[in-house]
Parts: sequence; structure tokens; C-alpha cells
Amino acid sequence: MGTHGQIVCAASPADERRRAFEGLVRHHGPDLYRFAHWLCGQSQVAEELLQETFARAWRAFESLREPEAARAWLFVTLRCEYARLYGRQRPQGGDSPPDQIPQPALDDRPEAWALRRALAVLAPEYREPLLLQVLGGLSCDEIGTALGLTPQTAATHIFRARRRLRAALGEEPGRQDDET
Amino acid sequence: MNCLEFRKALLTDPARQSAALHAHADACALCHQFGLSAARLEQLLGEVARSPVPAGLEERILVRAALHEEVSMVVPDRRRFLAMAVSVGVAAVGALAFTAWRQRDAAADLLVTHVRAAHPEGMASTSAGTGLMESATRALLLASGVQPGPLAGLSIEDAWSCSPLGQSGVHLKLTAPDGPVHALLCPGEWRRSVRRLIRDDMQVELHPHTLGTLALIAASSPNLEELRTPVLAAFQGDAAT
Ligand SMILES: [Zn+2]
Ligand SMILES: [Zn+2]
Repeated sequence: MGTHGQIVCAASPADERRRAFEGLVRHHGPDLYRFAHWLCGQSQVAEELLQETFARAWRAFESLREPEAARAWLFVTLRCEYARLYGRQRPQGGDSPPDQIPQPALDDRPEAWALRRALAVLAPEYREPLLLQVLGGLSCDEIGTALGLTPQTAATHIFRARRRLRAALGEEPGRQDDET
Repeated sequence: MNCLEFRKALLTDPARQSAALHAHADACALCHQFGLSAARLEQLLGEVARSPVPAGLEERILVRAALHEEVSMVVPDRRRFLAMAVSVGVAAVGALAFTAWRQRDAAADLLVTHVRAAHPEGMASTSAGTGLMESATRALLLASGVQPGPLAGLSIEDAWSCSPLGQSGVHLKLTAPDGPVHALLCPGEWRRSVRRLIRDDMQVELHPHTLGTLALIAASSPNLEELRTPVLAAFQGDAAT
């Protein structure tokens, strides 16, 4: 073997898998964490949900080759995991008002504060599909799958969620949002 | 498209803007205004929804995945290692009391045996290190009470928590041009000076470390000169308190 040439080693399948997994974690981890935190309201529970979701992703890795599909898969899996662990109930302590949720370095513009508060008090049936769209980039079909709704119902909930946020910011007359 | 349809479409899926949507906004001043305010909301919503993420989140996920993967490779305790050492022919050592393990030459023998036998893929060099292995190594060093030094220059192919001399330490497999080099941190194996020897056609270097001994082990071909300094720097960070 030469002493001067750098050996270019072919990456083993295991190493390639590790590297692709690292890409998955770095690319989707932050938004997935944010979604988890909005779901449960607690950073430690959110991180546990993420750990469990990525552990599942590692086991199901072969079916996650499509980067676009992987993101939806991760969000749907995390939402299922949350439902499995907590059912319809948020974990203990998760109902603290939004301004008590420990979040360092928050944007303190009045409209940002108002919107954050409006988002926090929004009913989960509206907030969850909205965040799956905003953070996860999921389609209404995918959101329906994640939440056990028809795509039409998911779309309606998202529409109502935005109307309520607009109302909270004073940009919408009120709650005449039951037309579909 | 009428005004109601326009507003509904915009509030349902603002990222999907059809040609019909644009056409309506161009023709209807009120909906044009609505579109601007909806865009402002969307911008703000994206910012507000993206709350801060705790530091080190991705690393913690990666380390946990890496450690799960390695579970089958870890030699968990002294008894199991002793059984293995006996089976591969270091029987003389197996017959001694554990205190005898502290004898220097026995330590070199055991380390060479460990490198050959405990990690089945043996001495074959497979690939370059990844950031994942760097995070795993950092976690393993911290778990052993060592503040990691610079790791970026090392090509870490694999990292394990191993206890070849009894106490749990850190075992790194590094990629070098002429074959792998193993670095093993063996806590509790105190020594005053560096020792270099050949055991069973393997180069063995035993360096004093604040926690015990840091061993470098390679077949005869890899040149340890170039790796020695960065490896020692990676392991010789201040002992964590
Ligand atoms: Zn209009
Ligand atoms: Zn080992």
C-alpha cells in the first residue's frame, strides 16, 4: 500500500445510512421539535416525542428515501406518537398560558406577542392542522391522514384557524367563520 | 373566482397560489388588499410558530441513535471480557487475579487481544468518519469524565464504550492511510511514562493520561507519528468536573 496516496474508501452501506439519517435529523429536527412543543407545551416531552419519532425513522429508514415524503412521514408519525402517549389530553403542566411557556429570546413586537398568544389559545383541532401546514408543509390530504379527518375537513379547520388568528390581530370582523 | 372563493383559498393554503387567484387579485382592489394582509399574517405566523429550539437537540438525537446501534458491539463487563480472553488464548492472564491485570505487558496483550477479538470486523478499514461519529465520540468521552479536545481532524470510523482492562473507557477506530489505528482510553491504568512495544505484530503505545492510560494500537504498516499528536489532544482535554 502506498504511503503518500490518500486511500479513498467506499462508504459502507451502514455508514451511508448513518450519514443519510444525520441529514434527516438536521434537516427536519428543528421544525419537528417546534411542532411537538406546540402540541404538548413542554420542552422535555417535546424532545422525548422527537427521540421516539426518529427512533422509528431509523427502523423504517429504507422506506424514507424520498426526502419530500420523509418530512410528512416524520410529522405524521410524531402526531401519532403524541396521540398514542397522551390521547386527547395534553401532558401534565402542558396547559400553562403561552406567556409562561419557557421560551428564551422571544420576539417581543406587539403583533408577534398577540399572534403567539392567539395561536396558543386556539383550540387544538384548529391549531394542529394549521401547524402541520405551516411547519411541516403537509398537504390537506396528509394533514387529514395525520389527524383522522377527511381532506375537506382538514382544509376547513385550517381556514377557520387563520380566520381566528386574523380576528385576534384585529384584521377580521369576528367569528363569523362557520361558513365553509 | 369570486371574492369569497379568493379569500377562502388564501386562508386555506396560502402557499398554493393559482393563476386564478392572481387574476382575481389583479382585478379586485379589495381582494388585493386582503392578499397583502394575508401575506403579512403568513410571514408573522411562520416566525411565531418557529420558537427557539434547545441547544444540542440534533446532537442528542444522533448520539442516542448511534449508541443504540452500537449496543451489540459493546463488551459490557469484566467477566464477559475475561471469558473471551480465555477463549482466545490469553489463558495465562485469565488464571491470574485481577490485580495482575495492572502489570504493563499484560495490559498490552489484553489490549491487542481486545482490538483483534472484541470488534468482529477486525482490522479492515471500511470508510471515513462522519459528524455522527464525532458526536458519539464526544458523548462517550464526556461520559468517561474527559472534556473532549478537538475531534474534527480525526477520521473516526467507529466509537465504542469498552472496558478491555476492567474499567469502562472509550475505544475509537480511526482511519489512517495504511490501515486503521485504534485509540483506547483505559481509566484506572495509571502510568508515569510512555511505553512503546510490539505485541503479536502489532504496534502498541501506552501513554500516561489523567484518568489512566491512553493506548494507540495499529498493525505494523500505519505510521503512528502523524496521528499521535491529534489523538492525544483529543483525549487530553481537561478532566471534566
Ligand atoms: Zn375580490
Ligand atoms: Zn473496544
